[in-house]
Amino acid sequence: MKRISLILLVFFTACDYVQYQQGKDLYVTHCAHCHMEDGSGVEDLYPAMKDMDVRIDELPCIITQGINHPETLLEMVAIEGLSDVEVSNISNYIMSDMNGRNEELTIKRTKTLLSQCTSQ
Amino acid sequence: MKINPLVALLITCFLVGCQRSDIPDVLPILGDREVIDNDTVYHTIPEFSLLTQDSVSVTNADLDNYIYLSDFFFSFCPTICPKVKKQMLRIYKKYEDNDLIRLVSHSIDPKRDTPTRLKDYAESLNINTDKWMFLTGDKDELHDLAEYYFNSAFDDPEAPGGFNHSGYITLVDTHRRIRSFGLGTDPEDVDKLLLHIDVLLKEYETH
Repeated sequence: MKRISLILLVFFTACDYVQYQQGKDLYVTHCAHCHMEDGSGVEDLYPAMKDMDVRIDELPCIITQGINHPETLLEMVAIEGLSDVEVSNISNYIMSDMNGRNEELTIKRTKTLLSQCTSQ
Repeated sequence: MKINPLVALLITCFLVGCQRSDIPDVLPILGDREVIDNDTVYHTIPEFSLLTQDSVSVTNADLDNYIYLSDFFFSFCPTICPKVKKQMLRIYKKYEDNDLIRLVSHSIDPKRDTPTRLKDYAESLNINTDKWMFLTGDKDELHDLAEYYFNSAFDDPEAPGGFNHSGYITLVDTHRRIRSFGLGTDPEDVDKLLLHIDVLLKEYETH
């Protein structure tokens, strides 16, 4: 078992393994303009996606509705036209691949969260 | 030890090939030029009068003692501007302690980018506005000025945010002449620009 883990580890490391490839592709298309491809953001203008203190449960509504905090200068616009599957894949890519956090949204959970978004 | 000539040749090719041939000893003076009465007249940044994020008037004269990097943007820009700002920030951080260098960001959307808004923008970037200033003013003047900095900026209702513009970062010397530029959306092109800034700085060390 140990040996298999080692082989898997080497395999994943060697291939720069991305667990959520669709999430990554969607992130690059919709989010990387402002948050940067590596998630580093730009100071307080465009918040970093790495090491952020947002819970995964908050992501679906942020992605689909945007954010407009009165205390921040720039408004994040809603990303429109995403399916529930795509929303969960982006959320999971940000949390798992980018932040190495062991949190995951199922599609069912994403649907529930999206039905509870408080519209702004 | 006997060295195979082919191996020697390959090693030589490899080493020569690795040399950075795109970094000159002296930066060229860029742009159109003409000869008037045996004097070469270079492309220079024309007179301008704009307002800073603190509503203070700024003209060329305020920049004549500095090498500066210029870009054109607007705060509502949803496309290339964040990436260009990230690269401007990289330049800012590298030369933060070099008093010869300044950064100048021009808004091409002065109606919405008031001095107050630019001040908030600068604060969100966590930078010192003595070193990196944000300019606004007359829209036509700003759009015309962009051309002189090898950029383009114009109204385009079809474009995201209402403006079409390019994302070049331009390096200007103390004689208002353009010495290099880099594409602000391409970190590798900005690597080259950073090396060019170092080349230009040497001119000022020896004089």
